[in-house]
Amino acid sequence: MKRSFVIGLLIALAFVGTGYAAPREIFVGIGNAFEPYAFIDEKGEPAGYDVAVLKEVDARLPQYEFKFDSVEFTNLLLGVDAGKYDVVSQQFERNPQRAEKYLFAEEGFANYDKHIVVKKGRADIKTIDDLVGKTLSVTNGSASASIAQEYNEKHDKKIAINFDGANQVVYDNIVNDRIDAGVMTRRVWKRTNDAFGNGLDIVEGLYSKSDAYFIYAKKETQLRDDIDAALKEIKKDGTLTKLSLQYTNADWNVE
Amino acid sequence: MGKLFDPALIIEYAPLILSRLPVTLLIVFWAIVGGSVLGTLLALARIHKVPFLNGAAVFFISFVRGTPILIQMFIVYYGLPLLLMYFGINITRWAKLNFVLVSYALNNAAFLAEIIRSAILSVPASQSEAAWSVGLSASQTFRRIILPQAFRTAFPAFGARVINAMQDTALAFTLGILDILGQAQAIGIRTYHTLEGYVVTAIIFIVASLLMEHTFAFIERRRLAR
Amino acid sequence: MTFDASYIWPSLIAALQCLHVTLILSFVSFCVGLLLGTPVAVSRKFHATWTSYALGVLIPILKGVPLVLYVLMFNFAILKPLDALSEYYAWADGLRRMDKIYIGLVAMSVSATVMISETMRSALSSVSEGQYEACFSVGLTKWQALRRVVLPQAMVFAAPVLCNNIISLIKGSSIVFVVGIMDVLNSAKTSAQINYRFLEAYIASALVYWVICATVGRIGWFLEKRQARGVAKAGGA
Repeated sequence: MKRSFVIGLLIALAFVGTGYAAPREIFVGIGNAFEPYAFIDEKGEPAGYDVAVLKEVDARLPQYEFKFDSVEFTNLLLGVDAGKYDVVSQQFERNPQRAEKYLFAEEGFANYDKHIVVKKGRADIKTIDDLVGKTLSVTNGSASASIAQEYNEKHDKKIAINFDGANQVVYDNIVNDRIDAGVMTRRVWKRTNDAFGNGLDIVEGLYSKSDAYFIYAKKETQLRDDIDAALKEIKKDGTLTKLSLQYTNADWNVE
Repeated sequence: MGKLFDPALIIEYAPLILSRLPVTLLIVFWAIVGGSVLGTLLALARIHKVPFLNGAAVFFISFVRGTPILIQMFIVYYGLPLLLMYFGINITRWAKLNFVLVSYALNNAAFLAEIIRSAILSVPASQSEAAWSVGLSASQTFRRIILPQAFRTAFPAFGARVINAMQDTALAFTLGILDILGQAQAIGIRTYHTLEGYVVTAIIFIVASLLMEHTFAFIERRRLAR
Repeated sequence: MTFDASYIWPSLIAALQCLHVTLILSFVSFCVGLLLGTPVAVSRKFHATWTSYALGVLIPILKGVPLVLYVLMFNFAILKPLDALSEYYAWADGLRRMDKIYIGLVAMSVSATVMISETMRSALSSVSEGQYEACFSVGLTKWQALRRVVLPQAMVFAAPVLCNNIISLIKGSSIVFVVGIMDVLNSAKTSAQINYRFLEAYIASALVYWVICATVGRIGWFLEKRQARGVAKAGGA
């Protein structure tokens, strides 16, 4: 009786000695509205490039265990505010006002350059200045919309901003001359054309340039540093490129 | 290469969306049951003008009817944990579905309160007078005479509310709950074809509402025949 | 939570700029719904002719269709033929660029008609049988009975539920963003675009909706009180 107790105690001490500690649970909020980055797959699970990258990061950080939860965009940030999530992701772009409220990662993990898209064959729109007096379709609440709004505030001649709705409606609007242009990343443009019939052209000049970042709760600086370090690792050994090609058919740092 | 609207996709998406029907029905069930119980209490408080409760009911009904469900869901999802925190109960990690059920029940309670109130008030005064003259007590009168008649009057409006409750479940997707409309939206995001998914849900809604119509009519004819 | 009440004000201003859209969409479709829905209800209740059978089949089906689908369907149903015609006719070309609010109006009017016809049907059944019998015994025709005796009483019963209906329309009108129409809720969200202050934007729009709906509720309550003078009610108190 006494001997087995001593043996048990020694084993327990051995565990303690090796520094075994239960991994900290990290609650990750993933957006549900942005294919192929953050969406829900056929089985109802969170899926996409953002999820895959974070799962890879999780594998390299044994002190954390990520729990994924899929919610709509606005709930991601509200969830960070309310302490429901420690880190969230849906291809967030950085800008000064957002950085004031939230903690951004230092390392970007995807390219988020955007272009203007127009009806096929149209040649009169090449830069954002060409949009003056014409209608532009942007998503309510997005960075593209805020760029257009800021342009209007700084210039006398304005762009007519139209806030879009369902994908099919936006495509239909542009292709049928109801709206003059939209804003998309190159990958989304390709996917839209594939889905609906190849009616959109992409303008080569950049509308906006940015990378995509994870967002953290303000106090999670340690978590942010750990994940950034893991991101650097997977960039260096090519895993990020592999994931990016798998989900988005393009390298992560290329459009 | 795809088309703008592809009817074949409707058939393709149907099984996946149908698999989510139990979730929708669960939400509607608790929304209506919970809402009916609370709604009846609110209606009674309003009819009898109970001192404090009447005012509280008016405020609650006004707020819940006057604001979008999305806000109410946010208030329950973010506010309820904060409130309970003061009592030391931490439900921040409670299942999202429970928050959704609570907010839908509260939402429907306000609407059902008005429907029930209108139905009770539509029973002619002669009915309760006759009941009292025969010696029935107030609660007996209510239970045996007024409630059955009010129930019959309220049926169509009640049925409409159930259908509406089913359509309101659309917002559960913002919290990541996959009911039939949420699944249609998820498919739409994945494949860019939102319209086809919505058509499937519309068909499900139509079938459900037709079933409910006939069930209600059947009950009305057999059990509540004048 | 990092909540800053000072951001509610700019969101409120943004929301109010599109107030007219929400009001037009809800009130016009309510009026259309009342005008068209009452005859539908009367027809169904009194099994008038073949129309009542047709409606008896159609209305339950239409009731089940969510508003978002009406809006999307009408968007394409109205615009697609115009797109095709625009190659031949200039007027079609002009029409297909119309402000999307008209599409929203059509879709919401259809949904409102279905909803209100059900309300009126329920109200008509709560008018007691004795009323109909009394009318006919005095020699009133069906139309006179309807107009002078039944409908006024039905309106009293319908008032609270009609209040519900118009409030549903007001709040449901925000779904029109799927075709790109800006109303109160979506306009409030645009103010949160740059700085991500979504909670403040939602609260601002909630305040606007609450004021509108509370006002409608008040008006409905006054109308109900006025019309109910002289109608005996049960239920205690």
